[in-house]
Amino acid sequence: MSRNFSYRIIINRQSPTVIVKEKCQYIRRRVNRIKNHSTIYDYPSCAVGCRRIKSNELFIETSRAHTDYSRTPALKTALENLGIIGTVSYGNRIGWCAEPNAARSVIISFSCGLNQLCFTETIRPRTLEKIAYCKNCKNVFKL
Amino acid sequence: MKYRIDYQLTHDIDWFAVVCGIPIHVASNGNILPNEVDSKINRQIQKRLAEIHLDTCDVSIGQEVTNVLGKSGDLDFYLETFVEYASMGFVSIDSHKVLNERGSIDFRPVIVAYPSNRNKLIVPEAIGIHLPILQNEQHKSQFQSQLNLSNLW
Repeated sequence: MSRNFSYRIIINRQSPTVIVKEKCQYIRRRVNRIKNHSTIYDYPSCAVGCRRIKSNELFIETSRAHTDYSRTPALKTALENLGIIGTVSYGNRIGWCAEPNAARSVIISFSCGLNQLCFTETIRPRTLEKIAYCKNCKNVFKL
Repeated sequence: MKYRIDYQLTHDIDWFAVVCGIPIHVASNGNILPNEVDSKINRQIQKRLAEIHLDTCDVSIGQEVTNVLGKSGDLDFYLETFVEYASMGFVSIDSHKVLNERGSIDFRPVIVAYPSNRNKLIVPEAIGIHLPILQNEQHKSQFQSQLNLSNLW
């Protein structure tokens, strides 16, 4: 069963990556608690935080398919420069990573450009290990 | 019924099977699941394992774990779910992502944890649900040759 984990958090003094790790721990606990009540959820494969430069609002999103990018035309165009959204490019499906999902939330909230986004490290919620950005995300967001 | 492809690629699914007579648990890490894995049966196995209280056994940690994890992760967090399933009697395997020379991602199976005693491997009848048997030669050889499953003990 699928479940969307999306968060919008005000950053105080903590590092944004630490906040993403804390949320990943919450996702782990949630998946495990639900498991004990005999409804099974699976872990999302990755989670990332994104914010506009100099903003203290952090948007955390997980990998998700079929996101609608029609409200963020610049992001949609950047993704479509790699290929059709949802098709494979460098081993990953274009637009299904956590990074464009988080970027979409920030752009919708602040009407900012792609060059004004900054990302936290990408974290695998099951193990809390750091995941390298994929080549698609590196190309789109110049990471 | 198979898991939808979009679901497989965006989730880290626990799946279970028997390969070369050895029961395995694999964390998919966004990788494509073998054809033999049925979503309905896999969920039943997940539920059943959460419900029944199996005798737990001592667990050994795979030799490659520290290389795979590197300096970026916390070993206790990394091991948690794998040790849980290994203590139930599965050989617990992670799908480790590696960048190939073309810049795209390949998945390499890595044994994370397994029962210290071969006799403690789970008997599929204990779950009450048939574990799928991996028939596909590609998967069988991948697990057999890369992991050397039968020489673990």
